[in-house]
Amino acid sequence: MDTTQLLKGVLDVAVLAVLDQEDSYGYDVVRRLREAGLDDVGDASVYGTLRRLFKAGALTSYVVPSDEGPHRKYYGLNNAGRATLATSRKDWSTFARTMDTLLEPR
Amino acid sequence: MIATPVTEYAAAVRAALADVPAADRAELLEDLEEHLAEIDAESGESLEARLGPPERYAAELRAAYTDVAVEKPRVTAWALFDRTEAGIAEFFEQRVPEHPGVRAALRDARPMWWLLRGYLTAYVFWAIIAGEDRGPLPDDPGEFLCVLLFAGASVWLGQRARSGSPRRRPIALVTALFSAFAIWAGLVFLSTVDLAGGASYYPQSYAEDPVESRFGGTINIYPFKDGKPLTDVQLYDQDGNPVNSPPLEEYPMIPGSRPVAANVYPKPLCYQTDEDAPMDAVLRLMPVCPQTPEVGPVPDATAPPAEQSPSPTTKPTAKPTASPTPSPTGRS
Repeated sequence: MDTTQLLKGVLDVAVLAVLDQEDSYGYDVVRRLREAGLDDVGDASVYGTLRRLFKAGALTSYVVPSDEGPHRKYYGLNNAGRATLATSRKDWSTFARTMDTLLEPR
Repeated sequence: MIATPVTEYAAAVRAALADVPAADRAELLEDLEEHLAEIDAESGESLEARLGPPERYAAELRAAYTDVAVEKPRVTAWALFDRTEAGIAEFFEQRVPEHPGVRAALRDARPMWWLLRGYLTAYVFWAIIAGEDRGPLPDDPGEFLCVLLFAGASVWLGQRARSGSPRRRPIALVTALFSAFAIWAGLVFLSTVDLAGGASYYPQSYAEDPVESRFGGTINIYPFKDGKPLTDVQLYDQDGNPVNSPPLEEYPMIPGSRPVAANVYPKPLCYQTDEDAPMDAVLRLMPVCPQTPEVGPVPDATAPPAEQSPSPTTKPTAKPTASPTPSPTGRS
């Protein structure tokens, strides 16, 4: 099964969940998602999602100067982001339960 | 600016997104260079090898950025509307049996509901415009057009929702208001429509008056004994309440008659016109009102002496005055 298609629908909530654990910058979010097992996640998808969530008012952002490389733009959840995550979490568990039941081998 | 792999790649991505509105593009690509530099720094491979061609990167970026909007947790009026609509839908969804036959029947019945919705709305709409009681069927071109218009709009909205067109909130709201209005109109329709097909003859207030409903079509009572008419008969019902027929404009007091208590019969009433006299004049006991109106109640010498206040319980209710009221209408 093509997991990139599945990923599209849940990337928002995945990104929100990662940022809920800890504030993070673009490339770090990609890395953490891949470490969590979402190997197929595209760099551009994550970057675009971050910018979109930020524009939609779900994220805060701040620049952290770095000694060894370029300045990094960190993202974190604000109240709106946390509310979105809470709703998405509930929706997801309902959806996942439904799919589990549906796909249960008989 | 010195061209580096990062700026080259970023420039190619920007070029591929040239059609995105400037404000959006600036917002999206705000820190693209920093982001790419991060990737470049962490791996030995070239950016192309890691990320694919810039055009594909741009396409992926575009898809991710213009994806479905993130849920706004602010409680807007629209969000409230969405939730209400979803709640109502779920309420009915849970109550309709899962049986496929039932579901299919309901689905088939939907166009009927659309028509009914349009018709009911048109009915009330037209009643408001025309400002009178309407019959259930359209009976003039304007009314017909009104029904056609509303039914058409209703079917269009229903068809649109069914065909799976993307839900647009304004249209969903119009549909919801349409439905709510039609349901309300249906209740109005059931409570006011005169199925005989026209404006009801009596004003609403009389039809709701318990006295009027008790009297039905009776306007006056002429008691007889041994073939001779009785006068000044007081009537009471089983509870001892005086039997009072309501005053009606169409039947004024005979000019010059003395006022009697409301439950004394026969009342000195008369027909205002004699239009339908040839039909039932033979059996009719109520006289026709004199054509030349007299002014004020003139004491009648032939009348028996008045018995003042026949019963303490009778209230001197409002009665048509002895002076003839100018009423243009006849009986029908």
